[in-house]
Amino acid sequence: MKKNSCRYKDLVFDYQLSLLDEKKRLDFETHLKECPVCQRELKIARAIETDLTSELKTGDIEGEIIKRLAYLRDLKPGFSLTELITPFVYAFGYLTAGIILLPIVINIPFDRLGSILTTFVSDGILNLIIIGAILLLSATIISFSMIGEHG
Amino acid sequence: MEKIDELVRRARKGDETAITRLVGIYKGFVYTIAYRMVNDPDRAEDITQETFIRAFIKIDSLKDPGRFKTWLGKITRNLIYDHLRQERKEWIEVVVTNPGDGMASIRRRVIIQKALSRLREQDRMLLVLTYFKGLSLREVGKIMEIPEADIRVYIHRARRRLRKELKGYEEELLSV
Repeated sequence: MKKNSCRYKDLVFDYQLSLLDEKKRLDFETHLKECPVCQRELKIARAIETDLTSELKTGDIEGEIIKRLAYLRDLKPGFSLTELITPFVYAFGYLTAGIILLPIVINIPFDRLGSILTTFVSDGILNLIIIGAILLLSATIISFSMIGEHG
Repeated sequence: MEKIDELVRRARKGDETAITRLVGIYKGFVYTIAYRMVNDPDRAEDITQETFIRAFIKIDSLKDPGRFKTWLGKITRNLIYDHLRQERKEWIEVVVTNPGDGMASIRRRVIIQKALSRLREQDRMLLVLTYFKGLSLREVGKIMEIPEADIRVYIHRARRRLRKELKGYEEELLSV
């Protein structure tokens, strides 16, 4: 047998890392007491362990992480589908209310208003685009006012 | 000491004190793994910060707050692999030391870091995680995505390869 050789040498690290089952561990401990090769190998294993188990220190990174997280949170759009739809619902509601209230305010009979609206819609696609644009503009204004409220 | 799962729950709600505590508790864990893998203190610190940023952005996806460390380890592993894929830099010898480290322990770190650098990424990561205090073999397996039944075999092989790389340095290691 070579001076530095032992067929159990390979078990040293497993022993050190508690990877051996109970029986193998006890057998190996008996062997270890009499084997200078394995004793030396265990010392090497311990030297490696001492280095690899040491936790390395880093700087104070907590503040930087908090700052970056806050920055990312501000960048995040954060709009859910409900949040996107809500301004349109509000805008539609305001427009409808406006259409109902307008004849009362300026004293136009409702049947007259009905025929004005029918003519307006049936007059062509351009008028529908105008209604859509008014709706979109109102929704955008409402969105901005909501963002303002939520900071 | 605060319970980790409680801190995680508070961090989910954006509690900055809880986030700061969690970073304080685990920054050494993440940084040590990162440094052992990339051997560059600056890159290791970048990876550490990136790991926490990613973790706290995705913290709602963590199902069991009690498994925060394993989950964080997985994010660390993925980020390290990303960095290693992007930047195949020459291995530079920069040794991180802790206050109080003597010359002998610094020399030992150089020897072991060099030996680690010659291993495959998976072996290197396995050994760093296995030796790191506070991680069970099961947790190492979870982080590495290796079945629990096979983890011992993987570690055994990795350790054998490390030992091979340390051939010729035994006397120096023993003299420390």
